Amino acid sequence: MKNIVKGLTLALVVVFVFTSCAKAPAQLMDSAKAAIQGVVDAKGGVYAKDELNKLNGDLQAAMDEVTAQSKKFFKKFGPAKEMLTKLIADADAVKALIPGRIAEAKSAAEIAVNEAKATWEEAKALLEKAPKGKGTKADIEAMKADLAGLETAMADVQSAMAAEDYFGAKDKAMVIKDKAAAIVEQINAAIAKVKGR
Amino acid sequence: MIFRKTAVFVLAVLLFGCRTAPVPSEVLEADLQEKDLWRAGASLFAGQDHAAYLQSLKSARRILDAENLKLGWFRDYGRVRRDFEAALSVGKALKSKVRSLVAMKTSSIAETAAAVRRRLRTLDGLTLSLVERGEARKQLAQASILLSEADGLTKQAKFDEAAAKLDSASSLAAEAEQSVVSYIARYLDPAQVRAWKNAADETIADSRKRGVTALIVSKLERRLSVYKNGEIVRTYDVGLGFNGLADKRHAGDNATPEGRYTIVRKIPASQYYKALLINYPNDEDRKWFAREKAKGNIPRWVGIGGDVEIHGGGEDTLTRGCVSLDNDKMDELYALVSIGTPITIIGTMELENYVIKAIRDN
Repeated sequence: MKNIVKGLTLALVVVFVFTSCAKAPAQLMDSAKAAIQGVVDAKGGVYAKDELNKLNGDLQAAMDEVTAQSKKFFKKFGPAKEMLTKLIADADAVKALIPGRIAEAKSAAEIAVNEAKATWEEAKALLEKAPKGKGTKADIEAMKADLAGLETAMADVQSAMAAEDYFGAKDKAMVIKDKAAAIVEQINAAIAKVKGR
Repeated sequence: MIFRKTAVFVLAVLLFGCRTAPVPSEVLEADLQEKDLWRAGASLFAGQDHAAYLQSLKSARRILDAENLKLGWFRDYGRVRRDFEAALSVGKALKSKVRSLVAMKTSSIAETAAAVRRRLRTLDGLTLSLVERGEARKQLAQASILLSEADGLTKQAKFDEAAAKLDSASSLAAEAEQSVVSYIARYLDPAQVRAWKNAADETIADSRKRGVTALIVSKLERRLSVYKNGEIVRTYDVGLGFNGLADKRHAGDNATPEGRYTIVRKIPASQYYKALLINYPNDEDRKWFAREKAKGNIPRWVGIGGDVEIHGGGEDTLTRGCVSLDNDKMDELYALVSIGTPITIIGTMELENYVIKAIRDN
C-alpha cells in the first residue's frame, strides 16, 4: 500500500513537471515582437518589405505553435522556442541590412536629384542666352513659367529627401529631369528657329 | 539466436522503416505561391480572401508538421497532399481574383489619368495660344510632374498613392483653369462678345456704305481682316503683346487697345519693318482714362500710353501692345491702306469661340 502511494505521488510529480511547469516562452515572444518592431522602426516597411513580411509570417507560425502547445496536456514548447530564437536572430540580421539599403537608396536619390538640378540649370542658362528678339519671346516666356513650375517641384524633392523618402524623391527628381530635358530641347529648337531666319 | 533476430530487425528497419515517404511537391509549390501572392499584393487587394487562404495553408502545414513527427514508416502524406492541393487551388483562385482586381484598379486609375491628361493638354494649348505665361503655366508644369509620378506608381500597383497624385494634379489643373478663365472672362461673356460683333458689323457696314477699305483685328483669333466695299479681301495672322487679350488701360500694361480707330501715319521704315500708327488714345479712351484715374483705379503717375502700331517683325512675336505681321504680309497691307483707313480692334466676334469650346469641353 505504502509503495502504491509512493508510486502515485511520484507519478503526480512527473505529470506536474511535464505539464504545469512547461510555461509558454513569454519573454522570448516579447523579444521576438520587439525585434520585429525594431525592423519596422528602422524603416523595414520601406527598405526590407519582403524580409519584414517573412518575419511577420515566422512570428505568426511561432505564435500558432505556442497556442497549439498551450492547449495540450503534455506541453512541449521546445520547437516554439527554437522558432522564436531563430526569428530574433533573423530580425537582427534584417535590421542590420537596412542602413545599407537606405544608404543605397539615398545615393540613388542624390544622383537623380543632382541630374535633375543640372538639367534644370542647363535649361535656365539656355533661357538666359536665348535670343530675346521677336519670334521667340512667346515661347521663351512660356518656358520660363514651365521652369518655375519645375523649380517648385524641386522644392518638394528636397522635402522628400529631408523626410528620408528616398524612393519618392528619386521618382520625382527623374520626372523633373525629363521635363527639364524636354524644355532644353524646346529652347534649342527656338534658338535654331531664330538662327534659321 | 537473439543476436541474429536483432540484426534482422535492425536491417529491416534500415531498409524499410527509415525510408520515409517523400514530402509532396505541393508543399514547395505552396511556399512559392504564398510569396508570389504576397508580392502581387493579395493582402492589400483581397484581404479577406487572403486571410482565408493563409488559414487553409496554415491548417495544411499543421497536418504536415504532425505527419513529420511520426516515425518514417508510419508517415502517410496522402492527406497532406490533398490539403496542400486544396490550399493551392484556393491560392490559384485568389491570384486570379487579385489579377482582375489589379486590372480593374489600373484601368480606373488610367481613366482618371487620361481625363487629367486631356485637361492639362487643353489648358497647355490655351495658355500657349493666349500667351498666358504666369501662374497657370507654372501650375500646369507641376500638375504634369504629378501625372507622370502617378503613371509610375500605377505601374508599381501603388494605386492609393497614384490616386493621391492624380488628385493633386487635378486640383492644380483646376487652379490653372481658374487662372485662365479669369484672364479671358470677357471672352466667355456673350454680352461682351455681342458688343464686339456689333462694333465689327458697323465697321463693315461703313466700309460698304462709303466704299472704303477698313481693317478689323480680332484679338482672340489673332486675325486681321481687310474689308473693301464691305467685302473681306484679305486675312492675315497677327501677333499681339504679352497681355494682348486685355483691353489697354494705361502705358506699360502690354495690352492691345479695343475700339474704333483710324490709321494716322504710315511709317515706311520703323524699328519693326514697316508700320501703321493708329490714333490710340482716341477721345473715348481719354475720357475713360480720366474717369478711372479720378476714381483712383489707375495710379496718378501712370500715363495713358500711345504709339500703338500695326507693324512687321513677324506674326509669332510678342509686342508691347502693337499688332505685328510677317514682313511680306506687312508689305501687302501697307499697300492696301492709307491714312484715315478705319481700324476696329475687338476681342472676338465669335460667340462660339475656341476658348469657350475648350473650357466647356473640359
